[in-house]
Amino acid sequence: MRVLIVEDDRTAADFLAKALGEAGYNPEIVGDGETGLELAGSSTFGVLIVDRMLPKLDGLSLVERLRARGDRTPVLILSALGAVDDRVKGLRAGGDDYLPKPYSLVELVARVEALARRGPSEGAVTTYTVGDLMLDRLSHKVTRGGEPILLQPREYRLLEYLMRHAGQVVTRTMLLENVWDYHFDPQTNVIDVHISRLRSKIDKGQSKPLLETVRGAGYMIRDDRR
Amino acid sequence: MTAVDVVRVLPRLLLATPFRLFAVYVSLFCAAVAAVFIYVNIAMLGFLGHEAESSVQGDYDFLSARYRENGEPALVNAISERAASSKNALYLLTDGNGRWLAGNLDTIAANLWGTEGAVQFSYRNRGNEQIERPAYGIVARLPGDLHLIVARDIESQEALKRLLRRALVLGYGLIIMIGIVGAVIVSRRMLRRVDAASSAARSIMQGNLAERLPMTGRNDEFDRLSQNLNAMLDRIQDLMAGLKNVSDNIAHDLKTPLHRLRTRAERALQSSRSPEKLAEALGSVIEEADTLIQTFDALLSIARLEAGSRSVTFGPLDVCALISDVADLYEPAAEERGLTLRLSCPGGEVMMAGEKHLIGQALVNLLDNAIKYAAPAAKTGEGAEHTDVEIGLEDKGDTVDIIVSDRGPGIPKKDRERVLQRFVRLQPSRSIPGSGLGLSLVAAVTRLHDGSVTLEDNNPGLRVRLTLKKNLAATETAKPVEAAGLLSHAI
Repeated sequence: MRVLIVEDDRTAADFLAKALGEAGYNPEIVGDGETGLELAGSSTFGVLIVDRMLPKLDGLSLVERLRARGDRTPVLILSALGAVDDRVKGLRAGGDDYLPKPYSLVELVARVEALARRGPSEGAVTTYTVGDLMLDRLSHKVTRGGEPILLQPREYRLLEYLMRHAGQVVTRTMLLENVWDYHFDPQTNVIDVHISRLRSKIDKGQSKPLLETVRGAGYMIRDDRR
Repeated sequence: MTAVDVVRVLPRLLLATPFRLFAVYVSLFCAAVAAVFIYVNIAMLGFLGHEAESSVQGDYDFLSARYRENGEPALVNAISERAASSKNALYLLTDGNGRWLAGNLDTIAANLWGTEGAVQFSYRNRGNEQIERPAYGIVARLPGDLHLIVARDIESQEALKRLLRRALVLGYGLIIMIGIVGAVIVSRRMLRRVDAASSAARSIMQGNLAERLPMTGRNDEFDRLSQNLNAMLDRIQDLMAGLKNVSDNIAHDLKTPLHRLRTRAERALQSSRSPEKLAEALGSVIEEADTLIQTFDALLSIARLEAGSRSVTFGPLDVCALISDVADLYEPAAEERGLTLRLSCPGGEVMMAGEKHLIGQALVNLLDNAIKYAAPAAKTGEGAEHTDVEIGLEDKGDTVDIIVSDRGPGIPKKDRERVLQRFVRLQPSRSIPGSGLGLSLVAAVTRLHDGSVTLEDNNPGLRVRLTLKKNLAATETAKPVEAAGLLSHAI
């Protein structure tokens, strides 16, 4: 999948391209907003990564113009500004995700992954299945190997998010943002504890655990046999 | 004030505001005096002139009637009688050739005879012929070729005129002199005070921040101005001290982890160890970098909140839902550490205008702290009642209090103000990781919401009370952050 990186810091862009390349993407780099907008219009990309501060045309205007044209390509906005309101501005302009600098490459790749796999028919999916684990989005029921699992509402939403991104790395910040709608960092490992609770409910006593911890990155739910 | 002094300060005095004000004032005063003088002059002289005119006319009427009825001898008699009895009445009766017949005037300017009616002339008094005196009178030609002059000496009127004129000149001189002297005195006094203030200001600008504007203790407008400027200077000095303190802290608290990071990277590079060891070293380098980034983020957030470099959009916010949410996020983490996290919400919505993520961040910081400091106490097993962390709220009408309390070691009374400042960490807790910015961020967030932070004793433990204004009218309107207002609390 082609990914367009619009970033004027060449070193950062190169690192980013390398990391995306290793994750199986086909990244292209442009250094200013105008060229970025032009290129995004003339060929198809799976995801756009746009820095906020760019020469010629700033990142937010780029996204706004893109959206005004009816282009719905997922956009991840990068910014040195991390404050809550800046984030809101970024999303209001039409960005799909917002990542403050400095970011970790793992985090960025995980987010690109989440954006790239986001299909338009997502809302229509009613069940998620990973191995013998099943989540029914209509009845809010979760079963493993046919056995029902009782989850708290928050645990259900956590599992739902993990299963929607099955096979992808999901970072702690992504969980905090999407499951709790918080855009800030707790110091304590609060997310880890929630995950271990969830894990004890879905993986306990099972021969094959589904919920993995990805060291230095986050979590992933997947079925190894696949 | 010596002459040299005068020459030296004169140009400045002339430029001084009070001097100019005085000049304007004196000119206006002079104009007013002139107006009064002119009025008095006209009114008084008019009155006196009228007086002389009517008495001359009366006299003349009487004499001409007497002549008509009784003839020349009676007229001569009447004139002699009157001339003898009156002091400033003047008469002269002559025949057609100008020969004296009666009266107390003898020398007369020849041209008077040519005229008829009211005249002003001068005459020389009998007995004292050196002095010419002014007179006003009527010249008439009577039937029978007689000439009659009836007049009044108006020397006293003229004297009065001169007197008034002299008084005016003298008065002007006095007014101007007093004006100049007064202006000089007042200007010098004001200049001296202004000069003292500006020399103090210069000294402050040169870096002597402890210098203050002088006060005379008279409690006048200058003192009040100085007082306010001094209060402003105190505030600036406080801010400067705070700023210096912060930069010192930044230097220390950011350089220390940077140094650790560098050393770690250096050690890893020097010792050619196995790839696993290198990977481990790199991992801890990233960890150090992350901590640094967190500290930077917190610092930036506080600085932004306090400097008001942006406006924050306040929306309607259910405090009860927010604290339930945060409690839900922390409950498993607390349990893992052997603590019970209790939530007490009286039930139902408690709405306020606020920024959800900022207040959320503040609460998360408080819970982080509570769990961090209460957990060791829980582990030593100081009793079950010492293991609670509680988050709750008290609805107080216009304000809402959010309370986070723990049963940890608490904070001694003397340190409670201090821990709200940036980078302040109490000595015994240095072993527990943290940046020393958590509570300062909480304080900055509450101030943005027109609130305050109070640290209380939980007997044992710490109880943090955030008092927030509900401010429901402000909902959905961007709150412009007043830089000045925030700065006055800053640091």
